[in-house]
Amino acid sequence: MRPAPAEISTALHARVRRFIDASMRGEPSEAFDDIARAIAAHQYRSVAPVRRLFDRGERGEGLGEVDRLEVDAIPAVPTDAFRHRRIAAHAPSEDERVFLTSGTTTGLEQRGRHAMRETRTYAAGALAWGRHMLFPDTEQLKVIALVASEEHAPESSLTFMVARFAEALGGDAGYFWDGERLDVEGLGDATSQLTKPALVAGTSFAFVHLLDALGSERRPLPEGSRVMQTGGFKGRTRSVQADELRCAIAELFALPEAMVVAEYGMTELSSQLYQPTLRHRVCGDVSSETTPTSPRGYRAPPWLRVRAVDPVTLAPVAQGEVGLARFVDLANVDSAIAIQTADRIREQEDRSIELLGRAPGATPRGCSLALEHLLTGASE
Amino acid sequence: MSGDDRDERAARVESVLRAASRIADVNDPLGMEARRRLPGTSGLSPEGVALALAHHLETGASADGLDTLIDACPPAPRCHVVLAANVCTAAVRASACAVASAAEVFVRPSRRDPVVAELLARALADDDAFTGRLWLNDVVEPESGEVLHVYGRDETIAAYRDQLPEDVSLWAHGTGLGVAVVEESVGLDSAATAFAQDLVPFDGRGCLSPRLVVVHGEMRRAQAFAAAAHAALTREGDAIPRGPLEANDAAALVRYRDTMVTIGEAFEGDHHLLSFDPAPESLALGPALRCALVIPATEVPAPLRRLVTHIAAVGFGGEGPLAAELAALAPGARRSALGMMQRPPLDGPVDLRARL
Repeated sequence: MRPAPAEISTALHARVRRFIDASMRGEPSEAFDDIARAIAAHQYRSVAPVRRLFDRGERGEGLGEVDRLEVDAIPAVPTDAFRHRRIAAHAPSEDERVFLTSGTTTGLEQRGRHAMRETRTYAAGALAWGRHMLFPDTEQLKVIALVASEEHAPESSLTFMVARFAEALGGDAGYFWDGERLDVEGLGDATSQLTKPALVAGTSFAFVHLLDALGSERRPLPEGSRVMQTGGFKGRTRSVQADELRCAIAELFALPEAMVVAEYGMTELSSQLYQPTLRHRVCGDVSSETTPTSPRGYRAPPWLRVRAVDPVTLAPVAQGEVGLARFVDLANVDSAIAIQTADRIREQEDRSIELLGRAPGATPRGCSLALEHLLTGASE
Repeated sequence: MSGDDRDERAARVESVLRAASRIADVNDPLGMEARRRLPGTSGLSPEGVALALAHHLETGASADGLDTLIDACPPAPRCHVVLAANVCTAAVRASACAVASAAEVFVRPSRRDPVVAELLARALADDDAFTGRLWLNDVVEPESGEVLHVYGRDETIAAYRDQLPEDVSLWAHGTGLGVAVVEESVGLDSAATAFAQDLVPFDGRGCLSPRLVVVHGEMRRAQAFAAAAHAALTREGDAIPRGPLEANDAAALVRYRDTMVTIGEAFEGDHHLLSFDPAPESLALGPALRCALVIPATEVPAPLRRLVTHIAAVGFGGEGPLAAELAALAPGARRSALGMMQRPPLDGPVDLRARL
């Protein structure tokens, strides 16, 4: 008799965590593809929307083939689907957390939901890759968060991740964003009292807000401090180019630019990518894995596979060509392992991922309402 | 206002309609030119252009319609019109409303699709009976007491609003959404055929085009309607192909198709994409590329209630409680029978939500 879905899920989570541990230790591990296929089969059985996508006849042809599917051929659930349906292998009563995409200023959109039966795997992956890319040199950092606390934003996956970072880095954390306002004064006090290095983590929008509020003032941080900035500006009133923002943040905190690390994540994923500048600087790591031959390149962890795919055929494009990001995320055990985004990327020679912004929607013609403008929820 | 003045205004509108008749006429040089140029500027196929010119270009008005139009467009010393890359025939109604207000009209055509505005201006210049003047002009500089009509997206309208002298009257013609309602009283096949006739013109890009179909009843009835509408759209598409898709359009359609396969059903044809959501938690609307979403309902669903101010048109397939509820919720929407959503009478601006 086949085990119950919950038992299968629990076993898969354990396999993924073992894969994370082994890959970070550089030890032999189970093959990525084997775990991916097992997760895909679990989702085919237990996630009705995923099964519909698999079964439409063009690609997946039922469970028998799912078990033998090439990983690049696993049908990818578009991120938009998370806005319209619960994509989960379990009942809402089993949710440990439900992460939501951020809302836009219109307030009209349906926010995407990512239901988590077990956050332990999410936390394990986020911490392992955060430790590798963001704090490989220390286990003690004060966390200064320009995101809301878990108490105020339990639905934010970014907040969840930052809270896990804080726990792993000694537990000393301050939160200076309440979802609407930045506590500039409190943040100033916190930074001026620092005697040891800190990790400042926040959204790009929050950093712009801080820069606007402080004008020419500076908040120098102790040597060894670092910044993690993430996210775009969708639905916000002001946006800043990534290079300009990184430079301004570095200047604000008197840090080398390499210590300002951009992160890419989204609510529909359980894993994150980082630019490797900090690791390169503090570890002198010049391996092909982390050498920043392309400063804008992002690094994915071993349990996240990223492919640039043709926007129409969804087939992988050649390395160096621009395509839409398709992710296979082993940590998405109970939702959709393969995620199709509308974000344009280019896979570089060193295997890093260059982010090129969101693909435009249909060319606007005519006077029909551009609902994409109103209804598209922004992911983190 | 004197009767003569009103008659003069009506006469100018009639001149615009005569000009439009020439553009609609396949044997008139202007009609031939329109059919030659519009496939390159409108995004429509040659067949789509022919359909628009033959069946959706306003070439006449009833006496009541003309009266309503004159009433809707107060007189002004001069009138200015900013056209968008709207549906390709929109310049006619826009010009009719403008000349109803003023004898002197300045039109800034869409840069992307100026064809009908240009042909209209030439036809009016040739018409000795036209007592007004209609100039095409890139510069929009309304003066005190004049009227400005702006067609386009909210951002465009807001930009003009910010620059205007205080006593210029701005008439904002923004974007909108069409909704079709299929009541229990109508047969699904006939409703599907009528709906297809509403979606195909202008490739579903107009503010009157139905982007959402609410089918009264249970899920299976809505699903049956979607299947019937898919068949009707396939037939229509054979005769009137969708215009060529740009790369962004094709990609947007693929994204939408896969989203709908995941959450419901996608009925994809060579020239349309119809989607079905059996249990909508939100409105998964598609791009305006001959796409529509079909949902079941017994009352106006909450996500649609949040969008009622954006509804520019409602097409009613039969009468019933759902239709009545939606009509009450969207009082500014233009109402018509299903199959007639794209043929509103010439009685003023097509979008009834905005008034001076």
